[in-house]
Amino acid sequence: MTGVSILGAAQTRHVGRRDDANYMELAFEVVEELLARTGWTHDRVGTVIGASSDFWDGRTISEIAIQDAAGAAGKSASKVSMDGAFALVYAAARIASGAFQTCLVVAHGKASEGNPRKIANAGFDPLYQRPLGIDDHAALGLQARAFLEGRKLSPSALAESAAQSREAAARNPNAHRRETRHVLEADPLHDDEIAPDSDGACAVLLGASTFGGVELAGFGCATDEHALGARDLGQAGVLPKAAQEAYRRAGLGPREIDVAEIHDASSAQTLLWREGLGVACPVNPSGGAMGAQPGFATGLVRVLEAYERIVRGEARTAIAHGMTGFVGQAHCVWILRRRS
Amino acid sequence: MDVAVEGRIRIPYRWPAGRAGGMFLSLLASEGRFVGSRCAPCRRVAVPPTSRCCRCHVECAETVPVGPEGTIVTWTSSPAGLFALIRLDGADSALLHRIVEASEVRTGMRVAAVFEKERKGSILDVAGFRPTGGVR
Amino acid sequence: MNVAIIGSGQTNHRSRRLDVNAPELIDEAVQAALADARLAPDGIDAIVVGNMEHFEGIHLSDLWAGEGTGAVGKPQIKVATGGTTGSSLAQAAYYLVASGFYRTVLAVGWERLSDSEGETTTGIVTAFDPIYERPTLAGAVSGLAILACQYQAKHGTKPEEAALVVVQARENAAKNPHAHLKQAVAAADVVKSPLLSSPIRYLDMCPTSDGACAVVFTSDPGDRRCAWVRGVSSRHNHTYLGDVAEGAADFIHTLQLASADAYRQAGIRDPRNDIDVVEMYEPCTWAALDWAEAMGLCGPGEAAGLWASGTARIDGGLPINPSGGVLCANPIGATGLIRVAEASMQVRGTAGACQVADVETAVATGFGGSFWNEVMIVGARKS
Repeated sequence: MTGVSILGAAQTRHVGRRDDANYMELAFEVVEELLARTGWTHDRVGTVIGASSDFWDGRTISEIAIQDAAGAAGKSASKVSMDGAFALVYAAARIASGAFQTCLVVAHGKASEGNPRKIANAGFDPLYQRPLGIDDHAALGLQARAFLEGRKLSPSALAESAAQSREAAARNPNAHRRETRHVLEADPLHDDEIAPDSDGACAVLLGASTFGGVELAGFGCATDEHALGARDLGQAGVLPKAAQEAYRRAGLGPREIDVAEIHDASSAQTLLWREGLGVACPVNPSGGAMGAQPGFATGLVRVLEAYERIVRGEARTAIAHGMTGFVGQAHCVWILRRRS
Repeated sequence: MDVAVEGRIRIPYRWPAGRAGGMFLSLLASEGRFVGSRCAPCRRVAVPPTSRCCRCHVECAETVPVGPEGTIVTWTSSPAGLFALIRLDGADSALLHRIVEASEVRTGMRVAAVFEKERKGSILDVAGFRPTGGVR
Repeated sequence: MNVAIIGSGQTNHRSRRLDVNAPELIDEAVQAALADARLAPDGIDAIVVGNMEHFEGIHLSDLWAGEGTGAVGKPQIKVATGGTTGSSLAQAAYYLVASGFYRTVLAVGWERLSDSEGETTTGIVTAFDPIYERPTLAGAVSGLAILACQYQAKHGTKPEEAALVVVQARENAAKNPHAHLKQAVAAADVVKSPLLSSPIRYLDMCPTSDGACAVVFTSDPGDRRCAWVRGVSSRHNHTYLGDVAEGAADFIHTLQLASADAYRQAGIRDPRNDIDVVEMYEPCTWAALDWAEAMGLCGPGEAAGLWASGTARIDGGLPINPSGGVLCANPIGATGLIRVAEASMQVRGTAGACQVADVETAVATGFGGSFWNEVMIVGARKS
């Protein structure tokens, strides 16, 4: 129990390029949509937490440009330099502390402005791994092979999982429509088994549970070793630990989860993280990150998708999972629950 | 009309390898060999070595020779390169590097480091790892 | 929920720490903080870290740092907001504990400005809007130069008067084992030093340093000597440099607003007399003058007098930056956190030769290159 609830959420459509808008305009778009949907106004929002990456934005303190869009001028605000699911922890803490009643969380990703593989390369161990030219796709390839071989699965398991993600994404009007050719990209992963690089943004309004909304029943975070090779990439690493903390805080077990939105950067991760969470429910009805991956907004979109399933009456409980680090070096698990 | 301004961020950097890393890279350069660090409580041998064990939070006092050969734990071929995670003999963690001089790559293959003639104290002092013909 | 600081640690900040990598640098501060807090590593429930990725050129530097912060297996959240990184870390740690989510949180900030060829400037240039500002007036000094010009025009303060801020800072830093710049300077040296961006001269400006700082926040201090968090606030402005100009229609003095909010939380009605010591984030001498006024420590145009009269001395009526402040050590990801650490040391009585007598209430500020200002007030009493 956190005492904090989600009062509303909005996302942009996620696409390959938003040449018509810079990232602050994406944030503005999604915040305006959120306020319109919820009927809230900036003056009634107590605080703001952003989620953004200086490297992906090509700008130190890139959050500077977000504050106007998010209504932060004159307010106490901050940001988290990780996936949006982690920003939600800080946001919820600001409310649970009693210092604020409401908090706006906004996250964005605009991979089209830079070279995603080069940017990703900068996220690997600088002394021993980055000089080799490793990038996120290659790291996902290493992980996918370790996963298949560790479980003695054939690569068709990845193809089947990718097909399910595609079908779900096809039903999601906000998912990233892209062309793939089913060619090997990072053996054993094909291009359609790796999440796309998307431009998009997401905003969520949190409030003290006295306002109503969908309850943030619990959360858990955990960090793993950074270097590739420090652990078996084919195992779920610290995800079960993060999940256990979430279940404990929520007073629920994995079998009580009705739907899970997972941050899956590859089809191997769709299967691996589901196993790590211990759930038996349907996974990624939105298509997951495989359907759209707008940088650090990806985990916040998972929260939005989980929230909407509950609001629409399709689920009573849901998991939203976010990740930072291309192969799961840090996990954040949220459990949402409909108020009875 | 969509207007875009082009730019580039070009900043040169120099990252000190530190105590454990400095030792690892110096030995690689001067003697063409690998070492790891062993944590006293958990006995885990980390390659490259670290000054403190991430899991036990104690300083790793012991330096352990590892390699020169190792076993491929996993690999991938991608536009960025042909990479493998290699567990050097005696190590518990795996080292990331490239595979070279290979017509095929499989998990479990035995590999050995190919060293550059001129070495400066960098992971690139090793050009890559080549299969030795064995499998584990 | 009441939150206390029970320990802190810092490296000895220097121009270049070529002997350690980032995790090892962090480890020094973390081990010192754990020892000061009398805590084993497993006493830490969660970690908040801060570091500016462009300054070192390392993306996801928080994940690499896990080896030094002790993050493996634990929750770790990265909060990086430019110059305010350190103070934002302290705020995040405070809220994470005050929320009841975690009992004990370690805040760790670090920077290695020597890693990049241009030190701060090359990284910080990228903070500026790439379309309108990056090609022209980008850099750490630009916004501060605007502020200093305005202050000088408004009050007619002479450079020799502003220089007294760094003269005092260096005198204090000589007593601080962690400080980077300890050498004494005279006002005459300052006004002859090279001009950076008028009116700011080289010796008016803070250095860039390699260093780390760690602070332990908890809701369960047991019998440890505490510095209780009494006020927490931040205010932001400045999307474009023009927002810094006081003549702008929507100008907000973010430090004034943040201070007022924090004072209200802490029950401070008369800052000049209710506050016992200030650790101010002063990136240059002129800023210290403007911000002493914004914080209500003196009237408009009177700030130079705080230093000229000796009021700001360690043994004066209102000591300002007994540690030597940012003018004497600036590892950016840590700097704001160092202010909080030093403020807590003053309250806990562990500031050594920099110790001010009888400290009940200490104020720490953080400033960042977006004219973000953050204030944290710590005190000897819980409320």
